[in-house]
Amino acid sequence: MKRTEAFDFYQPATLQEASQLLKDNGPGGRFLAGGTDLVIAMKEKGLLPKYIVDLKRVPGLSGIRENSDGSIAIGALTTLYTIETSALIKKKYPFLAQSAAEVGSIQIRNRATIGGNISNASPSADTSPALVALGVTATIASASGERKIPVEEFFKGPGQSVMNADEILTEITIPKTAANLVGEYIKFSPREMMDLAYVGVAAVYNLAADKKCTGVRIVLGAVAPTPIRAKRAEAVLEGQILSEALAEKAGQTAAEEAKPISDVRSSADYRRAMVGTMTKRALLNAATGPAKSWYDRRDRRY
Amino acid sequence: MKKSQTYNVIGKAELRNDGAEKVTGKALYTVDVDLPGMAHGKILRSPYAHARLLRVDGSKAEQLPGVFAVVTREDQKRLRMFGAAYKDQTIVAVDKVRYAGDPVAAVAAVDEATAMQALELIEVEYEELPMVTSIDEALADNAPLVHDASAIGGELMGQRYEAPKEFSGTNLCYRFSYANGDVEAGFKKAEHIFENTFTFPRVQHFSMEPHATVAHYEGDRITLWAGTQEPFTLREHLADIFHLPQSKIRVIVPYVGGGYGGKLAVKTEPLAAVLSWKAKRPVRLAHTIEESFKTVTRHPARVRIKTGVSKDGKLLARQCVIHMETGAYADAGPRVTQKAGYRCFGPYRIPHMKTDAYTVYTNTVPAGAYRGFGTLQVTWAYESQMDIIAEKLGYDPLDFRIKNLLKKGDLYTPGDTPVDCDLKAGLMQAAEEIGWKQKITQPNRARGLAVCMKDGGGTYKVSSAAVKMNADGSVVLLTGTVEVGQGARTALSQVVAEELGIAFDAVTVAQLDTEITPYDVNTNASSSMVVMGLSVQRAAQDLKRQILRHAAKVLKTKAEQLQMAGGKIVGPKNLSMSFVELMQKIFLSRAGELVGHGAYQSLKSPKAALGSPTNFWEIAWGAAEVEVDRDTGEIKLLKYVSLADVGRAIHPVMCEGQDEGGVMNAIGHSLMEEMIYKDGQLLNPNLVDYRVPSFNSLPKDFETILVESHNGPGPFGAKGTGEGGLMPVAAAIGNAVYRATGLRMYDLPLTPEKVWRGLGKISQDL
Repeated sequence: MKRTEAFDFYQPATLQEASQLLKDNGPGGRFLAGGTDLVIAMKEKGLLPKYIVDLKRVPGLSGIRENSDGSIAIGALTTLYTIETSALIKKKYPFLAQSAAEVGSIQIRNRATIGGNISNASPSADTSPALVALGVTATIASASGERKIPVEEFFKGPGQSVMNADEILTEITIPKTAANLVGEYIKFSPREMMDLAYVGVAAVYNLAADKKCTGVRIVLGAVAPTPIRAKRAEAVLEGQILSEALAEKAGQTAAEEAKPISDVRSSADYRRAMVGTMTKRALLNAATGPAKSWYDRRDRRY
Repeated sequence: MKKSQTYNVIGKAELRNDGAEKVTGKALYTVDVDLPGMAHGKILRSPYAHARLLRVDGSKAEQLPGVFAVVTREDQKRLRMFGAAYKDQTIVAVDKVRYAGDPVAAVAAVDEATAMQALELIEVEYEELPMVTSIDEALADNAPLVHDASAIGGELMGQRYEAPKEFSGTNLCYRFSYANGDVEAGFKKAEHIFENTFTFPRVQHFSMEPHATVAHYEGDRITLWAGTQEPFTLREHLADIFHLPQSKIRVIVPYVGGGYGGKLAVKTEPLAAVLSWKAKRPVRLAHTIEESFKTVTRHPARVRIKTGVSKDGKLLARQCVIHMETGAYADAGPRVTQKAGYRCFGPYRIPHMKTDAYTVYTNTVPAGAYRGFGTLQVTWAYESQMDIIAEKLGYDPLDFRIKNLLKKGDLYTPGDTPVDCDLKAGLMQAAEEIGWKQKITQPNRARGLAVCMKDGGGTYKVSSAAVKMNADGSVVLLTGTVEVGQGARTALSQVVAEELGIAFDAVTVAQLDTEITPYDVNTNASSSMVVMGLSVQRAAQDLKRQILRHAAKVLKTKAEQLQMAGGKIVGPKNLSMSFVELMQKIFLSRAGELVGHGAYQSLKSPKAALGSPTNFWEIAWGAAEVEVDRDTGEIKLLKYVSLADVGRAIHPVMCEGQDEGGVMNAIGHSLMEEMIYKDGQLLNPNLVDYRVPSFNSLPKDFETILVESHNGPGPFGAKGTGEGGLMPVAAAIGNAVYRATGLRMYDLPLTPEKVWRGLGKISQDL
């Protein structure tokens, strides 16, 4: 581990102040939340920020609240562990709680924030597919105001997002969803824990009593420069009665839509095939309800 | 030994005597050692796999404030070369670098960060050379040579290792050949001949504590605190490197955070000593995980195995050609190769056998000793092939093995120790526990078996120990066995307590210090319970004899009338005397001590294939039940049963711990672990992309059974343990995968992607 170069460290008390610091100090600055990506990048990957703006003194950036319109707002500094264990999230969107639980170790999840996980824009981030599938909106603030953008449009490439250097992700909002919405997130990696996803698949849809599926969203992680929706695969199931054959077909279609690469972890071929398998399983698992325990989840992934 | 004999201390799961210290974080490891004025060392490592070193200039680094010393190849000039088997290593590269990670220079500074900063100021010019990074590349005609000099050799544990003359101008550096019977005649007689090639990946030990040394070079004396498994051998290496008598070198061994063979012989300890000499102060040189990945690994191997079988299913002949990739420096490679070559016949009666095992240099990380020492590469091959043969000839794999197993008292090879265990009984028990005969109804599920055997306890061992009684009657054990986490201090203390008739916690184990502790060659090869166990037992018996002789004089009786029990001396007619009383009677004051000595030395025999008959046979049976996910290629371990022949479990819980740990260790190379190289660069020297087993990798149902027939040469009939559990794992799983899916795998690890590809090929062929 190397000694980092000297840098300036700021702890602003307001968002405006934080954003202004970036404007005033110019390029080379980074915001700090949980630090689980930033600090490692500095110590082990040679990232040398000129200055760091710590957001943890800014009040009001963490917590989960249900709005009167049925939407749920999650502050950007809310830790992944908080999301993983939130009674509200577990009840309404168990697959989102699960996607947060897939990240790193419990120590990491106690530091890492949802805002950081999104802003870091890693193609393999575990929470992103579920958020995109839920149609979540991100609120982005700067000294000059605030804007809202769907998370689906947030990512531009590995480590790249639509945010300008002085903008801060402050909150994400899950819109009100139908009462019969079901979902599943599968992280496929050989070790299953303390590992990076080879393939991540989130599947969300409204399931009618007759098993008719509407509002189908299938989002793939780790198989393209950003999380991507498999729109043709969604169309396969949209308005149809769920069946194993249809789930299989949707999986095959999703596999065609994926744009995986080969690396030390896996070949592109294998990733593509696993997109097919995991999409099928995610679609079928969603209909059977959330896994009862971690072991249950592990077993039914197979 | 009387059958009715009961024991008070051995055979019981006493609380580990290092447990409280360790769970409270107070236990001292080498990385924790902090001395006044101590500097911190860091190593500059080569980015190239093979390059000539044109220039190394440390002058700018020396000028950096906070830097005490920069060591470059100039400092090698006054030193001798070193290495476990061959003397082919230098403290830093001299003429060229031979692998990406090869030390080029080193710095000692006020702290690690300053040392790392200084490394960037060292100017090095390289001229890249063509490289060889696999067995095939290294063996190709006109392959670039890793070492130009061919006249290399050395001695390890009393045995000479060297390259045959005809290897000159090649990357081969050692060959072990052995034959018994007439293998060609055997193949001629055989009805069926099977020939298969298996490969084994490069894997790393991943000790929780990476390699670490604190060195202090003062005048003509070197003191080392070292995370080593063989302090006395390390002392010998250092004495040779620095032209010093062994008396000038002192090695102190704090607790060691895992060894697994990776901390045997000599690694960067001499470099730490040179840093200290130049910095004129103690220097701590602690590796990162990544540096340990670039220091030593297990040998990747290719095993060609040819077996001839008679019409009635009897093994007639086996010939193996084995290539072990030892990387840039030989380390223990020749000896590991010898063991792989010797162990490839398995626990079977084979009248005609021949083996040729080769050690190959490549431009990759050196490979050395690693738990099992050449065995895992060959057990994977021979136990997989046993199933291939059984299926072809229409036998149940269990029956086919039983038909060919060695019997107790049989000879593995002429001149070696006869087999000391009932192999069939163990195999039957493993089969019973896994439910071998029960039908499986679910698809893609099946069971697999394997039984493996290796010579145990190391070939040729020299060991000694001492047990002291102080003036107050308290007892101290001095043992050279390193506590690497295996629980040696606890088990050896149990032996002392049993012999002296005292409570387990009345024994204290002294800090291992080569200046005080009696000699022991090393902590390896599942040897300690037998080799050191006997030394310790004999030392305790010696002390006991002295005590009873003195007591007999004081009590005016015969020593034979007296016993030691319940923490005192007792005799007929309620005769009783405490130790402290006796000590006062002997020394006429509260002073003095009694010291018992014990030693062990293996036999040498020109008739034995390895020059010395084995201390005992280490035997393991494994049975696995797996389910294969055809869509993903994942192998789910539903159940694993491991049987270990421990002779007698001195500490049953720790024996189980050793065995379970061994199985987990082997699940690593069976299913997930593999160091991946591309263009001479290691791509995954970190724990994200190099996957070691986690709790999640545990078989759902996991059973360890200790076989205790009191048949070992160690104290109370104990054998050694530690490596056995690993041996059957890969083949038991591989065999189960075949029986579940029809896919026969030849290359470890059985990663999901590999299995998925294999299954894809099969379905295409259908």
